[in-house]
Amino acid sequence: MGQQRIEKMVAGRPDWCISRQRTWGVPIALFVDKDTGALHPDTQALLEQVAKKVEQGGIQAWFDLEASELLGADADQYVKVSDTLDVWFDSGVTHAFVVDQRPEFNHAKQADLYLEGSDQHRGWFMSSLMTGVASKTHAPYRQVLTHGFTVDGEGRKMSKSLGNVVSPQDVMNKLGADILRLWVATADYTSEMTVSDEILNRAADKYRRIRNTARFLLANLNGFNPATDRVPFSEMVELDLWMVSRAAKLQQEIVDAYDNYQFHQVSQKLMNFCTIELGSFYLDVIKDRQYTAHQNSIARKSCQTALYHIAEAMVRWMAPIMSFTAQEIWQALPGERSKYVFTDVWYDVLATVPAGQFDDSYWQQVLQVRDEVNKVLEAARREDRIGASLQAEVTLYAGPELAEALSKLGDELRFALITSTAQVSSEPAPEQAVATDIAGLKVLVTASAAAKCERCWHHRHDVGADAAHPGICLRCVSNVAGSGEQRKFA
Amino acid sequence: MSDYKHTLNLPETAFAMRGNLAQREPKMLAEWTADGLYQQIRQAKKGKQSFILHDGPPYANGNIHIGHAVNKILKDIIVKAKTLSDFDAPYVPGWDCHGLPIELVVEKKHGKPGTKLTVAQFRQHCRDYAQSQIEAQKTDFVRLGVLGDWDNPYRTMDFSSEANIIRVLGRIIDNGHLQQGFKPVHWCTDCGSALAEAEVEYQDKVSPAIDVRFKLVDEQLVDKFDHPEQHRGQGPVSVVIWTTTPWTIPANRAVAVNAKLDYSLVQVEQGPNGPERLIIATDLVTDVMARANIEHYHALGFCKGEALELAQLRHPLYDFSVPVILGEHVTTESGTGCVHTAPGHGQEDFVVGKQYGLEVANPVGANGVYLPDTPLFAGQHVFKANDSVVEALKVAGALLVHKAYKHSYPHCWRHKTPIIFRATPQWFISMDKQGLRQKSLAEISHTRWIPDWGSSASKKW
Repeated sequence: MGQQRIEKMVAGRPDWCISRQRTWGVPIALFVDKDTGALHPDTQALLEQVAKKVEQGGIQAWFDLEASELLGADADQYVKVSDTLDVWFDSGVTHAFVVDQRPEFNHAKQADLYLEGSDQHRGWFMSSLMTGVASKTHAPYRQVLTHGFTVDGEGRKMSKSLGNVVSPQDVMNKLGADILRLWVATADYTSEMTVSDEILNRAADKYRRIRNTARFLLANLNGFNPATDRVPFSEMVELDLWMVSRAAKLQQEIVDAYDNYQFHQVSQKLMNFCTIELGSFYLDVIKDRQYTAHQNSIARKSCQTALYHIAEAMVRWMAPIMSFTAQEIWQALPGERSKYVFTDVWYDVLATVPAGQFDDSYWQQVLQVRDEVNKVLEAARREDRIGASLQAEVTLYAGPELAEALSKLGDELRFALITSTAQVSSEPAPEQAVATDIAGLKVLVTASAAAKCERCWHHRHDVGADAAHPGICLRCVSNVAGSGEQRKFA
Repeated sequence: MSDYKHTLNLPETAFAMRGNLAQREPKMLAEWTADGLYQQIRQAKKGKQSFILHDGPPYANGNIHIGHAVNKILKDIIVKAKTLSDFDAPYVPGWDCHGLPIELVVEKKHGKPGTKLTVAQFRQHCRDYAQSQIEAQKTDFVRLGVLGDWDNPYRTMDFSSEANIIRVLGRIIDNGHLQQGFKPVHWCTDCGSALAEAEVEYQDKVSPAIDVRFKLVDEQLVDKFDHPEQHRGQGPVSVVIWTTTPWTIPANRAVAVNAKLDYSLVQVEQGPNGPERLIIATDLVTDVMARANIEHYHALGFCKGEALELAQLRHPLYDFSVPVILGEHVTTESGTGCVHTAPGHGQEDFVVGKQYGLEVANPVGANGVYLPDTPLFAGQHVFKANDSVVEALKVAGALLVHKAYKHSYPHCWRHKTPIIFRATPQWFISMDKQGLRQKSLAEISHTRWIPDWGSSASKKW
């Protein structure tokens, strides 16, 4: 769209009138012959002399200049032009006095990117192109990105009379710059960008969810020292390893989206990761292990290692958009690090995550089964047959393939489902078992008859089996008094 | 349970639940500034592959609005993401400092240059004002969390920038693109200055639309028409033009027709002035007769526009004649198919006038007032003179129709007032003298334009 637009403009535009009869502008510092109107034959040398004077004294140097100072006895034959340059010429040649001159740009031939509002096709993009081609035969840019205008929630232009003006100063003073930044990243800049108090409040809601996720990660990394406590990928619990590999895959997608300037994709992926994969599954499932496993057990450290990798990656994904919050997280993260996230690079440790024992589709299947089990648990809860899901014992009646797959998790299936027991059966399901959206899967929920462990809240028949710890299950006894439980899968 | 609570690994963090950003962010910023964060980043990325995002300069006037914020944030997101991809991605913010809007503010505060203050003092005030605006805008941009070389931005008013702008002009002259011309340009009579394309806005305006008779000097011209009925009719013969800018009639120097279009010689039987004959593009005869409320008319003959070339017409207000000329820009979309041509007041008029060696009459001063030597209208502002011109045409018997007409008309972006085309001596970068247009089109095709709706990857449907 942008290309056709500027092509049409260039094809049809008249010559560019660069002169103005104004005061506050760069002079068209020329001498023309009084009689013929022709430029002085030494114009190039004269212009350089004028430029040197302007370098010392600014544009006033030209206006103060006596023609005879440069032209000597010929001065009477020439008229000193008093016109100024169109300001679009000034900004149009920034490529020459900024990109070509400033040392930090390393004498690059072109800028990689110009980025302005879509009205600049006939403004700055145009004047830069004209002056670039006319002075050095090429465009000053390799890529040009345009963004739409901001309009209110109903798509109307902002105006004082409509009272719909959103001032960035107000937003920063009320909600903060990170909310404004998150809104910008969430909006699709390729068309009009709508903004209103309500839309900004929605951004603030998103912000809170992301912040809460980050806070959960940091809170569970309490006491974790990555230098000494990190579990190698090869020793991690399968579920943890899978989450880290999910983050690795997501990182590729996010960096790709950044590279393609698709920031709404970045913010959407970040948001989905926080709310769906982490929020409604992983962080729920690991609470048991995080809180109840032996403090120094692999079971817990594996999980913390996963949280640590995820946090390290996520803080970087956030940094370009929610810069303040990312830096705040950066400083709260355990481990040695440079002072600022902004000097760092993407978390490349993720690139080395090995494949686990189970592939991604396996875990996706477990996730689907969990969703179905949750529906049945929810129904049982509504019927007052159970309270918390840990009060439930479930039996999954499945076809041979699914049954075999789920059996691979052994006793740890119950941790993925957050129930006190979870059996898999390929026998025909009894009548009470509830059909699900997964073909062949029926779920039987019963309230556990076993006592509730005071420590982990699971209902287990072995509660009180150790006389020294009458209120808790043997798993907890091992975590409290022994070497701690072992986990392989979840 | 209380017995076991201490055996649990409960989560704990000093990271606050609430962002409290409005308070927290300024404190963080103070630390970033004190630490020289931007320079730390430059140091960390030194020698890495560079990624150059070049900042388009906002104009140094007024507070930043949400559009500025969007622009700077998008740039900052890109720069920070590229930095995380281990590029050396410096960001040098800039400001556009010269120009009319700042002059207008300074005029209001201190008076026009050369009145209460010297021109040099006026420029200094402009410079000071621009700097004060830069400082205010900078504070807001920094507050957004945008990292850049805020201590050392570029400004078009830096002496070195001003000098280099002159040097680029030199290179453009050296490459043969500069042209001096006497050309009609968009002219704001309130600014007293030419306007760039980008400074022109189109708004609806109601103008007086008039159909005007230009009488033939020599009625022999009717011989050029092919007359199926073998008679030539009666009454004076006029070519009819249509215009929405009556004030440009004094500068009229020709009437343009299209060589390939059909023109009719129309016999008006019972016109307001008795019988008369009018020359109008065949396709538009019905329209013109309808607007003139003429019911009784018939065509006497037809010819192609080219047959009318160089016929002489009487100027409707002044005692000289103007030629019929040919122009491809003449269409039958509206009007009469015969175009009033004032080379000093229209781009196409200027171009076609140049081919015929017409005088570029320029009776209007910088302030929009007719020059003292303009017969009939000297001293009147052009928009106010419309009525006088219409009246004079009426008195001269040249006015055929006069109606109010609403159309989209160029306005000054600053004053929101209608602008005019006015011929003035100006400097131009020529689009075609050294092939600038073609080279630019080639460069456009070598540039990546984002979003690019043409590529399937980003198609939205």
